[in-house]
Amino acid sequence: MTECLLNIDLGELPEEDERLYALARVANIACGGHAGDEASMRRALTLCARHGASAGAHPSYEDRGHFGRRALEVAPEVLRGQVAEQCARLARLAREAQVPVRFAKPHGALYHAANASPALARAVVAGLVEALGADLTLISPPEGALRDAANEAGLTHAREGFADRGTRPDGSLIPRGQPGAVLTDAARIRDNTVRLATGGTVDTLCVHGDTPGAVELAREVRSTLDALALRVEPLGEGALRLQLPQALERRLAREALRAVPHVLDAVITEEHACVYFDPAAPPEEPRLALAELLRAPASTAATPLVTLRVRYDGPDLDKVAERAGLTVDAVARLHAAREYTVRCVGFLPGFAYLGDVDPRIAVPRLPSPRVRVPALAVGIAGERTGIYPFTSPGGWNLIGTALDFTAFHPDRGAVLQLGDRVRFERVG
Amino acid sequence: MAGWLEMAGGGGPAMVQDGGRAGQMHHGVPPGGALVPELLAQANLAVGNTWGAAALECLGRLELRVRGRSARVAVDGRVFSVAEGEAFTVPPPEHTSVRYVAVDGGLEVPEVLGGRGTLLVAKLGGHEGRLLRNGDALPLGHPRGHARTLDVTAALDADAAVRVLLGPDTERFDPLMAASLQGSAFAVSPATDRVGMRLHGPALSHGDEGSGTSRPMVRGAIQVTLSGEPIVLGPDHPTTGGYPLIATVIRADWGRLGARRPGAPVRFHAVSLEEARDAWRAHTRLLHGGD
Repeated sequence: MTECLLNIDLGELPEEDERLYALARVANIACGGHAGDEASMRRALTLCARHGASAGAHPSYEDRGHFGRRALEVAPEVLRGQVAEQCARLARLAREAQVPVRFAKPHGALYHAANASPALARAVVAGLVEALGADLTLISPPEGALRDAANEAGLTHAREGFADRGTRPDGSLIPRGQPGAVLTDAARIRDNTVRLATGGTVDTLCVHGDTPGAVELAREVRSTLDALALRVEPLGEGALRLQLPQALERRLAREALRAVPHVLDAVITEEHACVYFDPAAPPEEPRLALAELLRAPASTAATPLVTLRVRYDGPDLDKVAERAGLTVDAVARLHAAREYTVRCVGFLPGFAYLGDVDPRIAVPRLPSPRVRVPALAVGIAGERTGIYPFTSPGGWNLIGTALDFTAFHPDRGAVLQLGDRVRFERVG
Repeated sequence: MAGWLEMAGGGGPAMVQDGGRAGQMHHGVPPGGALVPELLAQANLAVGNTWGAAALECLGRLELRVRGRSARVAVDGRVFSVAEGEAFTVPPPEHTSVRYVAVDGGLEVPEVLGGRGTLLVAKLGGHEGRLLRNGDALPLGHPRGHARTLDVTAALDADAAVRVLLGPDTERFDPLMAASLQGSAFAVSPATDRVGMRLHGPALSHGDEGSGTSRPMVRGAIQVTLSGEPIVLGPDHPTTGGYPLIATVIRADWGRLGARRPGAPVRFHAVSLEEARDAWRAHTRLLHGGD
């Protein structure tokens, strides 16, 4: 499944919230037909560049009085000229701002009229290509004259759904002005988003920039789409492995996944999360549990700081020092100088992967693992360091021994938990 | 009066195992549990226990004695009565890798993190977290329930293919390797234990250099080492690992594979997620004695 992109109609209102540009993947910029002028287009293009949204043209019937929402009788040839002129205005400003315009979507009444009329649709597409070139993605309803015209002209077509619009049982939109036409309830919009994004019938979802509470709604839709875009793979029939984005706070992600009904356990590793369940009762879409965390960078709540005493006496200390071009003393000093974070708990009961090790002493694993590493040995492997909780085989470079430390309690489990902070205190 | 099971003489390795401890992977604790759940279930059901009650998992001959009461004892599916104080011998497994000795009422060793099984690497669970020794005494629970028989012939068919779900790291392998996994004859390596089963056979090459970070693991996952050797993760597997996974043995076949002794042939057959789920539902009914 390809990712479903959030597009937002923008550059329409003077008091527009800048945050919408951070939420949009595509900003449909009003280019004078129904709203917008040179100043608003410049601002919109600048904000696209600042926040990483792709710029799109949003031409309309020339009807600023009714915001382009009234059906007009315009001959196809005239319409072609109007669309081309509006888009050319945006294209000129975009060239100045060095922002590519690779998307286009007709606005309001034109969107519906052109989709019902092959002649109007061809006129719109011809106007777009004239102003913007053919390296363009046309956003329009999944089926209809606009899609056909885009295909004829060799444009890419993105099938659009509306996250904030109510639908009739047959899937068609409830017309504006009728009850239920515009959704403002976050939970309903979220459900709508999941239904549309996972149904395989749309490539992009629209939120209207002028809907009341647009920022909150767009945030809801964007985070839901971001969660559904996370790669998920079955790990056998009783587990799902999820790819985690770098920025996601790991400890909160684990808690959120663990709380999903039917999830029996959740494990976080460096780049993945894995949920475990009974194959007879799998959880419903666990990725959605991460949407809230994707919505805003989590405030890093205070995590426990654990100080562990280490005697730097490991059998690989000399080799690590030699490889790093440092003295043994310097290796110990650098290792004890940092505050580490528990990135992952796994491998053995109570084993915590701590990062990041100072790059000067981040030496790779041993070419072949030791058959027997003593319990409490402190090792380095690349940018990770850790303490072997038990005597076991192991391939890390052993540089020391942890003192007075129990990594694992049979009644409570692992002592070091995901997200905990760890310092080493050098002894002797 | 409650009794206990006594190790009355030397013998091959044996330890306490049960149905496993779910939900502790985030502590780095693998699920554990019987290497061959079907044989554990067969022995337990034969003396009226629930399928996953704690019992002995034996790799060799054992001399045992019941103290404090008489008992019904099952060795795999074979049941006999033992008088208070009477010693009896359990022969080593003949056709399977392990065998199970269940006593009516089950072995009431303390529950640790939701399970009674032994996790040797962490010296946890079972009897003092270790293999059993001469003189060890294991407390018995109160007998309850009625005996049932369990036919494990089909589940443990030594000639049947072991079913797998391909992936999830398929793209890290040469495209021909999924076919090679299914089309080749493998054999169980002697270097096999509860942590993992190594397989002899054609190398399953991949482009990894071992630089990847650790990823979540699951029992049954087939990880492939840098030299191309497949290792099927067993009940006491490391909870995370860095080798790519070419496929995962479906749960219904964990015992079918685990029961095979060193040298035994292994063939793999890929199934769909739906087939794996259906097989698991049927298998769950089997383990519970058809209820």
